[in-house]
Amino acid sequence: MFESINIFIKEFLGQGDDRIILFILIIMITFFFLITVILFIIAVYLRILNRSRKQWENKKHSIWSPIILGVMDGSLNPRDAFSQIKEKHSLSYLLYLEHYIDLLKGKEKDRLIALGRLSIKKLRKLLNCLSREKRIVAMHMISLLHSEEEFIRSKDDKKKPSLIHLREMRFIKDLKGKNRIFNALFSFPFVSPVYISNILADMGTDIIPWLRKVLRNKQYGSYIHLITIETLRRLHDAGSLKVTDDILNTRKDPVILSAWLRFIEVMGDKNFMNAVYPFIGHPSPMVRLAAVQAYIEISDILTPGEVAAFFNDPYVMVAVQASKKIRSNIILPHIPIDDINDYRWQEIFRRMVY
Amino acid sequence: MTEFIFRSITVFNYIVFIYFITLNLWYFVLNIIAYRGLKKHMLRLKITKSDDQLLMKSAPPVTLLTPAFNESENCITSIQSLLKIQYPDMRILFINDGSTDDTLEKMIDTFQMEKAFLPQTSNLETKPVKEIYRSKTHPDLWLIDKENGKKADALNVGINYCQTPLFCAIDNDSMLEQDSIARVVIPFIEDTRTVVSGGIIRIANDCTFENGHITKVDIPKNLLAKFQVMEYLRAFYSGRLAWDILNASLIISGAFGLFRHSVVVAAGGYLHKTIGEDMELIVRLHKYCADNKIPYKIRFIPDPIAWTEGPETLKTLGRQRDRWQRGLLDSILTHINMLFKPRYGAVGLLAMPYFFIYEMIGPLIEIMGYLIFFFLIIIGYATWTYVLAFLLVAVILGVCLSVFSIILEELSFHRYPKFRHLLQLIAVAIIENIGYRQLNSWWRIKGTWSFMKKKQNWY
Repeated sequence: MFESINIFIKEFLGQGDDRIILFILIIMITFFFLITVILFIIAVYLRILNRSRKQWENKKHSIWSPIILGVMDGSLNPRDAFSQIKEKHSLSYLLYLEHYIDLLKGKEKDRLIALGRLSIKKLRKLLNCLSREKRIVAMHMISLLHSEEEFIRSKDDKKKPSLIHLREMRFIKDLKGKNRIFNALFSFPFVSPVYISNILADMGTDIIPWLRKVLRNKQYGSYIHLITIETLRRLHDAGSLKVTDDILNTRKDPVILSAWLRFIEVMGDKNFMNAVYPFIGHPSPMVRLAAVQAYIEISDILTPGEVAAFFNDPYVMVAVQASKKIRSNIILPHIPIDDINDYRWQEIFRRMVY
Repeated sequence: MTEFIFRSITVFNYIVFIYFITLNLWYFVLNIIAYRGLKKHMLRLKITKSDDQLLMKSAPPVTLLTPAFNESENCITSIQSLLKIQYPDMRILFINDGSTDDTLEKMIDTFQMEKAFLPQTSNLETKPVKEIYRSKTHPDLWLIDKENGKKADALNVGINYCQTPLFCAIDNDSMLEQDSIARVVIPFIEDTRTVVSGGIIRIANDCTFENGHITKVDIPKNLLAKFQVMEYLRAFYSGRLAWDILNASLIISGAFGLFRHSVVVAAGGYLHKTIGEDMELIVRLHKYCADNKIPYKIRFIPDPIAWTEGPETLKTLGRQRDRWQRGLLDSILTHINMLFKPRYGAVGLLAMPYFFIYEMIGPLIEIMGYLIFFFLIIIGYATWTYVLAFLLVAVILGVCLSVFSIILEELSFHRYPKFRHLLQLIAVAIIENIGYRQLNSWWRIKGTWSFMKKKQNWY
């Protein structure tokens, strides 16, 4: 037994005649050594590439900069400027132009957008190229130049659009395109509703009738209705508040109720005081919080009983937010000191007053 | 008896061999996954910058929690650095964990703190809070003075007083880049299932900071710190990025992680009696969400950067690795019932077994392997040629993986700009295999041993 183990170990360790394992190890050493050398060369190559790209960009930026500034201040016509830029079709140039467009407003921005639009043919081509990276950058640039109509002709537009695609298309003017984006934006169930409603709000007031239609359709779930209400709030659409009674009386979901109450708060419409008041005693803390803020916002004066309700609420944030709202919005009624001593959150009340 | 010894040695040799092959296969797979993930991430970075208006308009409020115990030297610089972070809605909660030096006085004087009221939003069990202060000069800066209860306790106090849906746990000695929070919050905006999102940590030794922000990146002069630069690159680029794609991240560094407040509170906050409270919380969040059938994601983002000072002496580094190993053991063993359970998805079937076998038992197998090789050479059952060949394969594979991480760095953020940085990193990738890796394994074995003896210490 000992002998056989002995032979086995010797074989395994390569001391005997059988040097297969050693041979395998040498093959492995050679193979991985070569791989490492190749990786090393790639690392050095990437470093050289990055450095030379940076140097090239720095050099080009110093050439492009005065031309772009010339267009910006109106001393240079965009067409003349365009003819002076040799690399007008490179993505580096367009991304450099983006830095300026991002920072500017008004006429100066418009002039640079006009300059950028002269590259639209190239961007249109890129929208249909094989590289996803180039397609996305082109999409981004087109959005920046407000030529989103180009998307309709793109390869990606025919497929189910990604969130990035939709986001970049949000300023599109074409109504059909807008409608497509509008519907597609509701198909991302895990994206933050705030983010989606910000995208929708950027699409402008054209979408308000569609939003109202979605709100009326009770087959849509809370997530979609939440986005709809948040968007209406961002668009300051006072007309939608007409359905307040319907929403507050028929919807049960606290998320929807509190979103609608926030909408009323932002619009500051005093006609809804009676509609909001019952929600100050709602079982959901989230709804109570929104109701209290909305109520203080649209009230001219509070009664001692209402103040007591805010500062006795079991949820501390109700008292905190009420104190912030009262401090910036309203004059308090006279409240006897003994009553204040009975408040659950008397410390918050005192800090608000004193 | 001799027969038994040789039989055991044979079996052990097989174990070492299988361990070695499977470990490197794992590394290979993780690197491929990481490469694909990084490529995708870099593409999206081209168009969504950290100051993207649309994203920032949608960004939820965040509270930064910085627990501190006797941080008199660092606390002011650290807070000044945090105050410069660019984020639309952010507050800072500095938690003085019963410091015995003048941390509290320094904070009160420098930021003109006055007593204030902050409502408690959760009731995690903690040591008592003595006083709450708010800065007159920076209204978003708060200070909570509490009795000493160690880091996990201090963080739980911060959670109890956190008023925002998200909080970020930050080590007091870490410096965050100005757009780190804006970047690390993106997963929460793009996917509401996200419960944690963490960023990359880098070694700050010999880098230049001005007003708490990095102005010049350099490779440290100290050799031990150099080794850590390479280690961090490898760990974050190859390891954590790949685990993130599999939604099986078990570690989000305690130095920089953004959490969903409600989920952390529901899961019970940080555990007091653990050494690696950051890892334990992540594992527990996986378990909590899976057990309660809550759809969730724990994300690691490679670009938000926090810089931290790495230990420069063998003693401090050894202590740090010892503590990390104890933390790892504690987290894995506390949740050992997740191992190989399909209900925990990739965490139960891939990450837990990986950490159990390669991170927990690995160092022991490695060191035992070296010892047995030397034993066999001494008694004449192995030749130097064979042992050296085997070690050379291990070294070359190690270098290969490290160089791959350097490539990932070159393809993405290339934060070490000079050519000499690249050469230094490659040199470090080679020499760390001779001595440093073995030392690391030794420290981890020591950590395992002290864990067995239940020695727990944090600060």
